[in-house]
Amino acid sequence: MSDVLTKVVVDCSTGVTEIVPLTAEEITQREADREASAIAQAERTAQAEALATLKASAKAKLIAGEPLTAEEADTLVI
Amino acid sequence: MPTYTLINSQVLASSATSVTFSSIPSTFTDLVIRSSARHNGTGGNIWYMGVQFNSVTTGLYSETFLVADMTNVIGTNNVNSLPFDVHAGNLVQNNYTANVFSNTEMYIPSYAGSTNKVWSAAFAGENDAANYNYIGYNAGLARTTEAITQIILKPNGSVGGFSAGSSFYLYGISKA
Repeated sequence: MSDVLTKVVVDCSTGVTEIVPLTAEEITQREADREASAIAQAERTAQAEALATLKASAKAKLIAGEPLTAEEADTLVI
Repeated sequence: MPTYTLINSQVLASSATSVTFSSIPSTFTDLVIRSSARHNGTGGNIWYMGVQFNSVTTGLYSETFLVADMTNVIGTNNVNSLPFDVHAGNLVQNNYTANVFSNTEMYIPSYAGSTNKVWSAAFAGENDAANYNYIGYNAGLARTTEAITQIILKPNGSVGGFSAGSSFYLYGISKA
């Protein structure tokens, strides 16, 4: 990949295709998008891990015959 | 009889950070995008493709998506996502088997209407090896009532870009 970041833009009304170098602003926006995406992904991962932990706890308690918390029960009840 | 018309196609001669179809005619009923694409990075196991409609860059995108590999099935709902955080397609990463691409078909009904826009996408990530083959499905919503005149495709999170040889085809579907 070349050092210059480029995007492909095609005008569907004319069929003209352009390969356009990204502007400095677009490159800055890419970095911001990347950071925002990483944050959002981290949040989703944390939520998924918390849910997995609750499910595991709920399962263990069911097997042991112990009462579940409401949060744990919510993971099992459809 | 319904018709299926190729509006435009792009086969990348070199890497690109995104592919944009602009000035999309409003004369069709629905749109279909078919891609055979590869990511130009090597990190992680799977890359996804995000989508942006027009200039809607804020967190107005939501989705339900399901992806499965050899051992796991993952399903999730995401709301209020940025456009390139949705998982509207799949991209093989660049250290997988050479010349192997992931396939996606994305269907956008009533793209020129005045209601919120929805789409569905089916994709398969291919690799000529025992692992890292994926299938997935995505149902999405963009809370914009504008007619879609521009579609931007970009790797998830604006990380990297599409490899040379990636291809993208935009079709218009006209109802009978």
